Amino acid sequence: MTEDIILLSPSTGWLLLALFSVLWIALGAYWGRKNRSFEDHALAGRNVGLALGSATAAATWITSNTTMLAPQFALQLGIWGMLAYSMASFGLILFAPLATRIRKLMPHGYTSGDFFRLRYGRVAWGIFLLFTLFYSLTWLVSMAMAGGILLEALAGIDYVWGMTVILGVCVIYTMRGGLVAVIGTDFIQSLIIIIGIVVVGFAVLQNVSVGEIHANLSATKPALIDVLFPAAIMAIFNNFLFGLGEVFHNNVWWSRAFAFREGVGGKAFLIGGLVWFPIPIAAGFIALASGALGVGVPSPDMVGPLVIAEVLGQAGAVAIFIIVFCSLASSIDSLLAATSDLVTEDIYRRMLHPAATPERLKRIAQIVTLLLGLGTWAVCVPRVGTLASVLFFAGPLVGAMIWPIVTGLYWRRASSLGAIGGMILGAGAGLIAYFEIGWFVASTIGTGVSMVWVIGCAMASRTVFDWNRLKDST
Amino acid sequence: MLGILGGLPQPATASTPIPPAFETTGELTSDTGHILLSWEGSRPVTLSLAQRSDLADSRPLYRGSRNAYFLSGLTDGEYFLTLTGADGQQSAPLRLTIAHQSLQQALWLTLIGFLISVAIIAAIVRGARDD
Repeated sequence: MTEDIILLSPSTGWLLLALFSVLWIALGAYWGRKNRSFEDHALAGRNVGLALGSATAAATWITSNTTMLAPQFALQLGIWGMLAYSMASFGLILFAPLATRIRKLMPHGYTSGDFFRLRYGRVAWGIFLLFTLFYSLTWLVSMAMAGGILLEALAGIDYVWGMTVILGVCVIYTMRGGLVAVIGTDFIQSLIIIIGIVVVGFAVLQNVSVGEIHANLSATKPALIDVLFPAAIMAIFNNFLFGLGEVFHNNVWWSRAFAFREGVGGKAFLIGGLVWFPIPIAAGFIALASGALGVGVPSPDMVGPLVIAEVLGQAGAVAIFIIVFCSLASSIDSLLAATSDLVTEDIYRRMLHPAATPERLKRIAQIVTLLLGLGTWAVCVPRVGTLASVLFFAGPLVGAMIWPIVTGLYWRRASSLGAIGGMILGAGAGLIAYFEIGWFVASTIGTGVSMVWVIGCAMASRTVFDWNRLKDST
Repeated sequence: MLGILGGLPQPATASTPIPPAFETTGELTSDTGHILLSWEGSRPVTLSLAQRSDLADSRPLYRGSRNAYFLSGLTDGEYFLTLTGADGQQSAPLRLTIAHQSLQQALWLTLIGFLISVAIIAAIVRGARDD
């Protein structure tokens, strides 16, 4: 539906793409030059400070979904939809105490898989790996596809070429620089995105007042400002739980908890969450202004770029191109790094080669990153339109992992049976709700069923876990 | 405005204009108040929305050369959509029925979501009491 929305000439698009590609690769090579071992490559030497830590938390969470899907949420579900999207910030905010706890319990840990294996055993670990790899790979594929589609829609760059360049650039600098390159580029990307969104928000307000937007919505889209909009109010806590599940389980966030310097993790995730919170609101506000600005929207996922181009003209079109490129890169690089670390640590090292040297593991992580990139590219080339929507199936899967993780970190009586049953029953019930009612309740139902099972098992359990067993993750 | 930024595709300019027509012919329904409309035929077109079947209260939603429009924020009720081509030819009205999901169900599920969220926050804030 987006082929009719070209805001920039292809030559301008290619020029911007080339400039930022060279910048990211050069920075990745520069920052990665001191990496020697797997710990340097995967965890940036466990020495990331507060500024970089906060920026990478916020930037990684600002995906192309934040800049493109948040306006879509506002256009579909109104004010509540806008706030519902912002609820995902609580994933980062509530991960702050968890990050502190993780660092304390697992000072030598590498991945979220380490936690599941040591805390709940191999069966739970296997289910976790299945769920998290499904989520991570689907997210990675959907981001790469979104990159190709958006570059084609914004600048007329051929889908395959645009997708290949974005993916290729991220693979190169992630392979070369590891997590330190990912975090460093995230810092710059987050600044660009935040400045861009703020400038656009003020530009919209220069063109139309809040009163005019409200009057237009009241007259033409009254449900968007209805306090009792059924689908929208259901989405609020569903998104809250989806966001929690995404952050709590995924190695993208656990690897950062391990990489941040002692005492930094809690503050960094809290600041990252607070920085992220207003971004979907600003992006959503842009969509709500579309009617008052007279912008006809041919496809809901393109409302943001259309309004920005309408308000800021050529400068706006350039700005949205850069914002989208940064949003995509900041998420794709993190996913590549975290997923390759998970495969290297949890599959290669734990299952195949326990005696591998740190240098060998670093090399394997680089090869896995390259293979992930090639695999993602191969899946993305046919441009199967429905593939990106598969990401929404992950809502109940990630929701079902919240309680096993929270209780596993804080309750000695949380049991393997509780974790295994919670993940399977919660995911199953959530998927049924997804198809019977809608996506806006799937995470709620999945998390709820998982919660009841996990708490029930913990209350019935007689085993008491020894926290020292989590320290054995070297 | 967008036209000067880059190459919006030119509208179809066949010598004999093709009357605009919605790609969907049957009645449309939505339980979320939004729907994506698309059409074919010569452009530009005017897309209009009415709540009366005789179209007496019709109001334009979009005028231009695109072939799709995302309509959202509608409350419960029946709506009638029409397309009018540059030469005045009008499509047959397309009926759209909006019936939002049950508010009672929505409030219950929201309450459940709230309670689960509070329980998670409580578990984290309470922390580990038996370390």
